[in-house]
Amino acid sequence: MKNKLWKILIILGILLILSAGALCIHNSREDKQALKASQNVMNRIHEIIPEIKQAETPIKPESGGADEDLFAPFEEEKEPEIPTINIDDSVYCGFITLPSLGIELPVTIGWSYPSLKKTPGRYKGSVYNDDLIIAAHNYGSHFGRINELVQDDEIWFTDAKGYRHYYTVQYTEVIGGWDTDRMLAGNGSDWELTIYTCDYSGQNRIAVRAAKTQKD
Amino acid sequence: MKGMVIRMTTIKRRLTGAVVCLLTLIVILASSLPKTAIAENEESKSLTLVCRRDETILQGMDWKLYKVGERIDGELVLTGDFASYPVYLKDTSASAITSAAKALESFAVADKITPLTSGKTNSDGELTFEGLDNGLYLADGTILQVGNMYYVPSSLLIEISDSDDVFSYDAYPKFYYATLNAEATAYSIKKVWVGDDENNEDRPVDITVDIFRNDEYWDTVVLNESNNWFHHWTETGSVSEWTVAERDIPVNYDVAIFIDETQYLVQNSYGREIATTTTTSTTVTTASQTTETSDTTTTTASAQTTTVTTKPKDPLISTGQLKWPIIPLAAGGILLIGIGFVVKPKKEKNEE
Repeated sequence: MKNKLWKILIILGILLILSAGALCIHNSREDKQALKASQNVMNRIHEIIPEIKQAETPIKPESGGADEDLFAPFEEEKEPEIPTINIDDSVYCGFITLPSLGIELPVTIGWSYPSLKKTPGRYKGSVYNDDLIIAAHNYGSHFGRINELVQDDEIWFTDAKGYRHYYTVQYTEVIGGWDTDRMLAGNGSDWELTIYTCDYSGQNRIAVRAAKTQKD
Repeated sequence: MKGMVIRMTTIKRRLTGAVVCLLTLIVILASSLPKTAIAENEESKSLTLVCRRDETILQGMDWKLYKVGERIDGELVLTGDFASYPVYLKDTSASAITSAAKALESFAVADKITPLTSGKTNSDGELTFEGLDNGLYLADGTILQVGNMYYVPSSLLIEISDSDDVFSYDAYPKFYYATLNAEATAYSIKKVWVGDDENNEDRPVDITVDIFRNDEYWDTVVLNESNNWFHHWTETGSVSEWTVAERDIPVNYDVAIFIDETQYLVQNSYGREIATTTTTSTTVTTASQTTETSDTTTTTASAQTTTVTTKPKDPLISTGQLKWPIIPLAAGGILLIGIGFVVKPKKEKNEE
């Protein structure tokens, strides 16, 4: 029995190491595919938006908001229309740039698990309401390194019309995977932009909070 | 002689008896006469509505006065013809009182309640109602056209109390506007629910609203979710006085109506205490007479409901690659290989 046991243990050990290796390779391929997909989209976006303009004042697209009338307090608050770009089968609301990490990625107007495999997605809010939240996978080419961002690092968001909004990092926090309230809390007061991704364990989210600034 | 004296005494006695009977009869008749609501007595009050501002005097504006309630045990309570209407009176803010007045006016128009009295403003723009007793009154004015200007009076809720004998109220219309004959005016109604959510079982799927034009029935509309609880209509030419009245207020809701020139907001609030009066009449019939007595008791109805809505939390988007097993797998593999070599029989090791 002992003659066979050591063989079994070694084989099992090798299998486990191979599994770890396979998982590494799988993750790496996923990362590269995501990088390739997002860069393809970015190239198309740059063709569509050749000129980047600074958003000097908050540019709110016409929302068809109600006049001050008797019914206004009871009307449902309408989300302002967000300009978009259609590329292939996806709809993008702009792109995000993390200059200190050398990352520039398109952002879809909404999100789905298939679309997140290619590009970050808008989770909630909009740049016009100062409550934009963008989520992306923790691929190295996407948001896997956002925990390296420090206070005052810049984040840029360029909308589909080419207006660029500038932000500076305020702080980073770890939020539980079910703590939606905390993720949404503080918009417009503590932060105007949040980007988040899963931590290494996949249980929590690393959220980087940023405040809007004006570029000189 | 003696006979004459006796006769005189008898006549006097009879006359005295007749006078006493007559006086008694008069007293009985007087006490059984019904008392009128506006009986002039030492305690009667007066209310003057003033429709005058700066140099603008509104002469000839029609007003109706209804007695809608009384203060009972310190609380304003709807009484009489208005006793059964679910209108909240505990909020004494200006907007709440105005909206309650509008709601009561809508019921008065819809149910064709006879006003206590009515009148027109005089050349000073004033109208005085005399002989009022303490209570809560609704003053409902009618649009007055002066040239091409239309003056739209607001419904007023006024309390007459022991604080004074003479009450004066600024009733100058809040809304007034000029319009040309060819101009179309758009009106709209919106229904809102306050104090509950759409899952409340008491909330109906739709409500019915009657629209009255110059106090005459004009149309009935149904408001529901599919039309966003909203309806609008237009009028071309002269300006009419529109009244909207919600039919069949849902149980446990009260109604308030807010207006803003051409908008009518019908608000149903859930679960507020509405003090009501119930009047019970008893008729006692005997062989010779029938007497009717009535007792008024005040009850407070309150809807005690709690709505607890729990919504399961959605997790944040899962944005992680499966990375965490890598280290345990690799470490476990190395460990197993190590253990394998440790337990490997020495004979085989030596052979190697």
